[in-house]
Amino acid sequence: MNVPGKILLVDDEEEFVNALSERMGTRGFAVDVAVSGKQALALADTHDYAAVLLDLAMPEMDGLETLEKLFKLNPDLQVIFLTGHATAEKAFQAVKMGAMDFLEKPARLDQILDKIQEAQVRRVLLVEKRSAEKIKKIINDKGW
Amino acid sequence: MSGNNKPHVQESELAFFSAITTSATHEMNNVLAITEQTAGLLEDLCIEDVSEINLSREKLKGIVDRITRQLARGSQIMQRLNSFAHGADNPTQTAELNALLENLVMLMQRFAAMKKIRLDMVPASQLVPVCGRIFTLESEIFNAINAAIEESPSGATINITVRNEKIQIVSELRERGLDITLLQVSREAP
Repeated sequence: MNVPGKILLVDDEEEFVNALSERMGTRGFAVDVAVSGKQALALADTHDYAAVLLDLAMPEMDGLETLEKLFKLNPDLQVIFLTGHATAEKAFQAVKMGAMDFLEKPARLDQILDKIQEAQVRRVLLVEKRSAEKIKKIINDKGW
Repeated sequence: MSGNNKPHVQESELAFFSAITTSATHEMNNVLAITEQTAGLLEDLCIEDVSEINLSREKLKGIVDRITRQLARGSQIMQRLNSFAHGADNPTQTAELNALLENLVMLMQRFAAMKKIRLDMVPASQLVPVCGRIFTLESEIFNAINAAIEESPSGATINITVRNEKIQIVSELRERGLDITLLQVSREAP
């Protein structure tokens, strides 16, 4: 499988992120794991992730606060919430803040991978759009 | 009790019931999610060509142990949730205070953990039977512990002590050496 870009899994349930990352690894995904919002921000500050799979209810810094701070680091990040604490209100709030989608635990691996691949495609399209905009700006600035 | 003999449920009691069930089912979803992915790991290994992967007995045992741990965790959550739900079986009933508090404290650990706070419970040395509206008592204890969680800094330990004459919930702010008693429920001496 040709999978562009690294994925960040964020969940305070360490056994969950470890098992999921191992399974994704055998399917060709490059994965980093974080067990807190703080750890996720430190990783996102130094890596360019194609997609982030983010838990909602975490100690100290919850998923929504983490999302807000992740977007400050990189507004183009594609974030999918994966949570056992799903309510329509939280889902609506997350999507309103810019999250790509919302999955409920326990999700099957194929459901998770479908969303991640969708996120990767969106990310590639976003990068292409940004490049096209840059080129257009250069052409305009130079008067070509 | 209202005129039609049905117990009157207050809004705060409904909020308490909602908070406990939401938290417990959230935890169950985590258990199921870990089990799903860990069992999936085993499934992945079954379809791999064994000669091509480094599959040791220790690795297999590690995966099975993880599943067993989650089953035990899930089973405990369900037992605690079931005991909690029985607290509303009858308008008035008898309960044992040590067991009631232990169950409630375990169900509330997740609330505390969200603030990196620990709940410790010290039971009374003997059984403490209480009779009355058990669900209301649980609701009041929940509110008191929640207030202690709200007031305590990250890293604090909240001690909940059962004595035969009263329930005492103490938020121990260790670094400041303070004890704050948030709830005392008096009962008649036996």
